Amino acid sequence: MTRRNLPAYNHILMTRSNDTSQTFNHRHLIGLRFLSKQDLQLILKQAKSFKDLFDRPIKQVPTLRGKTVMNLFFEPSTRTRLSFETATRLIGATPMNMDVSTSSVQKGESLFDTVQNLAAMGVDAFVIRHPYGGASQFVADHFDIPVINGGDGVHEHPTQGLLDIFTLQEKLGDLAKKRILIWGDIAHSRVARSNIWALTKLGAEVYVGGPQTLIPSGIESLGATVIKDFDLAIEAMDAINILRVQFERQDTGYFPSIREYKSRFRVTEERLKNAKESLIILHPGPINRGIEIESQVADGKRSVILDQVTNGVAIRMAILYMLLTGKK
Amino acid sequence: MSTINYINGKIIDPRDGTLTIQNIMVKDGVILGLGYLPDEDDKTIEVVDLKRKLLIPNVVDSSVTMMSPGYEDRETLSALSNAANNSGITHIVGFPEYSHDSPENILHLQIMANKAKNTHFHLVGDITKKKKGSELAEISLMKDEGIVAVSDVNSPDNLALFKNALIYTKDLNIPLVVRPRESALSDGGVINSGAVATQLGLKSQPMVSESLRVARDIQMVKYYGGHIHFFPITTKESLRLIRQAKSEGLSITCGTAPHYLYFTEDDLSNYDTFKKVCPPLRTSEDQRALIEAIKDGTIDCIGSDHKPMSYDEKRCDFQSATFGISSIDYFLPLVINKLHMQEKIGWEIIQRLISINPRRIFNLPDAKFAVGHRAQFTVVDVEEKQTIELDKIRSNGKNCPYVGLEIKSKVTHHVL
Repeated sequence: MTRRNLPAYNHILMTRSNDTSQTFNHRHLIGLRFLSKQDLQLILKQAKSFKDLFDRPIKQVPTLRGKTVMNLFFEPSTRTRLSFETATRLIGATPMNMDVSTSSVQKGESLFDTVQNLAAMGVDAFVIRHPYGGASQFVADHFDIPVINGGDGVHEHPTQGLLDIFTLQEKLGDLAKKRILIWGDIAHSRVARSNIWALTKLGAEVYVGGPQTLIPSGIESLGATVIKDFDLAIEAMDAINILRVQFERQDTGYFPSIREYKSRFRVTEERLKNAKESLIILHPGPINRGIEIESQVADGKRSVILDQVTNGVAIRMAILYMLLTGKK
Repeated sequence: MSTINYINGKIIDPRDGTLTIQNIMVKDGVILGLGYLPDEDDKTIEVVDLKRKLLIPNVVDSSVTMMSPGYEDRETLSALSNAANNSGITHIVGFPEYSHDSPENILHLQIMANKAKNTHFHLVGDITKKKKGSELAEISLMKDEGIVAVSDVNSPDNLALFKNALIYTKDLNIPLVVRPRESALSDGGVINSGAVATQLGLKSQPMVSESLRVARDIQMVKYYGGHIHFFPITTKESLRLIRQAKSEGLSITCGTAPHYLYFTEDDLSNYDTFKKVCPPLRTSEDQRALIEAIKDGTIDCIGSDHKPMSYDEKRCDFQSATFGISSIDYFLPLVINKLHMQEKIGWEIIQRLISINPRRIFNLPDAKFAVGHRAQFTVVDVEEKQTIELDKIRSNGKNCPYVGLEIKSKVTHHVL
């Protein structure tokens, strides 16, 4: 730790010690449905501290030096993994990546054995992405190492949900009573679910819409309201989170063709003409340019897509910090 | 050459469920007399005082999956039979997991099962060869070897073949046992469709998958005849259809399993693989409908739906885990605890569910509780509380979601 790094490190410690009345008592981050409003606010506050570091010439802090964070990704991902890797390095820890495509998993090694072997190597935390909901929970239940859910099937993607609310709060202020629309393939979206859990806890009004075949039954039970008419609803919205059309998750015909999807559901400048001036556009990425989102919208003044990416690193630093320095 | 007098047991009157104290004199395993009081001086007669405990003759578990042969890692025949004996089950309707479509298969399995000696196995053969759904299996020859029913798990998708199966088995007077499910709607699903599936992010099986198949199969029986026994039934809509079919006098019977009475989809929020079953746990509304259907006689029997699984098959994420609950241990106490203790259902109904109706539906041989017949009964202390313990499970399958549950009633004697 050089003298130049010291002020930044102290700054983070001070932020944490100022909040002695509230503590983050979770060992794992499996989903936002398990977190309280206070938990969310603590995370956002911590992330803000880390984001402030990004303006400094030396962004890295040695806070978690000596810790190893293992990225265990059973599904392809570039952005989430790179974001976690970046966050891990910036906070002083060492990232490791297990590349499933060339691992023993291809030889039929079970999830349990894979994790057990890695745990025996002395890993301090797992970031797990898996095609099936509940996989992160399973690992958390069977091993004593902090687990961060990097996306499990269609269940949750908590760090994405967190960076989304961080971005929304950054741009819109207090999210209570703000109207957020999540638009697109809700049925196959873990991002949508994490967003709905977090936003409703913060008092926002959450709306979902898209092809009716892709609205999952019982989505209202999470606290969202289903809307059918985009053009009618858009005037009242403060933000839209546009979801990617997930061709790889669809096995049967939910809609007839891409051109029909574009015609009915694509978000374009034209369709935003009656929206509020202050309306912002989010997208979890990667975007299918021209399909669910018009290029002009993705690159336009309303778009905060790149802010999301930056915020993602700060959020992930905050989560690593809070899980790896928290109470056992 | 022993004579035993079981005294002070309470027998259930099948008409109204009243309990009367009767003594049963048994010589060499055969009932010599009912209500007979021993001679004071006759010291050769052993007296067993049942102390006013409940006595249920010929307890039948109408649905047990036999993992041997083929899946011995899950359970051996001897472990299964020990577990059944320990649970006080006298007769098992056994569904081999591995295809059994010829008289040779059945004969071999029957011989193996008979070696177990702790319970009576009544076997179920395949409807079609290798359960593939394209050609009828040798049902008549299998019947000669003693099968009591045929089943391919689901009813045949091929309607032409299904028609022939119904007509053929009607002629042989054996039922088709069907777990009703539309695979096109359900395949890949691991939980009931609805809010819980959406919250947990799991692929799901909609309730219409069950009721649609029930509706289809009822229509086929109505037109072509035959007898279908649906097991397990889990939804309100299926019960409505079956109730209607019975009111029309159709040859339709059905059963359900204790887990659909104890648990709902809400119990899956922690992704407990021990509660992963097919069909999946449903809603509390469906659970209420099942209880009402038990009371009004729409449901004919309760079977354990025993499916033991190996440790590794359940020690994984929910989507990947195999379906099945190891439910033969504690079967009878669980049924009595739920139906009589909690739901206050009369003894005459319970006796029908686990003894009289399954014997009738499957035409089980030699199962009368009368003088001259084998003495086969189970004694239950309905006041005694017990906690279900993992260590006490005799089945090889430890995938039992009831562990830790405190229930009222306990099996104390099992006479075969």
